[in-house]
Amino acid sequence: MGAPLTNRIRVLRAERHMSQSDLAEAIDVSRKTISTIEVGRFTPSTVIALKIARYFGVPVEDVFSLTDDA
Amino acid sequence: MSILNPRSPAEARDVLATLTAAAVGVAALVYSVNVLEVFVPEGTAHVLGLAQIAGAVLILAVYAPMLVRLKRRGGRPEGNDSAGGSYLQAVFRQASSTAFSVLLVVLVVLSLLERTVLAHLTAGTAVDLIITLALTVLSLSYFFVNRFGRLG
Repeated sequence: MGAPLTNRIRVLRAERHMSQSDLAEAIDVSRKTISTIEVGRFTPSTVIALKIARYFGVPVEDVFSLTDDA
Repeated sequence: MSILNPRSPAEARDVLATLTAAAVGVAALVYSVNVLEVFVPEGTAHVLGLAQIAGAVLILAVYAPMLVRLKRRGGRPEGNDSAGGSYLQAVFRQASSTAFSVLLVVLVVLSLLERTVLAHLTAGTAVDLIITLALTVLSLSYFFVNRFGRLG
């Protein structure tokens, strides 16, 4: 089993007063995709991860990180 | 989000995936009637035949027009998503993979039980049975993974 991926999407959204729907629309995915990524049920593709990071203007490592570096 | 009026092309793709899984479930019911008709009395078979027609009409009259409408709203075929795939598209891929694996196991088991099971079925019924199982597993696993699954 792979190392769990954590993310700061909820925090980054809150800092910008954005809803999940706003972010979803901005990067052309569904709101469900964003919500499942946020709670860790869905590991996004590299393309989606990079789109999220680019949208927030931060490196992808600032959005996603592994909980253990095994 | 409305099923008929998704907010964005991405939402349209998600609705499309869910509708397709539901339509596959209805198609499984339609095929299952062909199998059940062999084992039930003629009167019941007649009723099942009507249910089968209703299922087919449901797919043609409801699913097909919605498919066209959602495609126009921006829904693209599963797996052809430039964003690399949404959650529900990943769920659909997972369900397809599960259905294929189950189908393989069923085919192996049926080949082992050739004398005890297949000998009592016509070739047409056996094919309908296998199609029913494959479609049922695809549809059920889509909704199960969507509700309880973790992907990736």
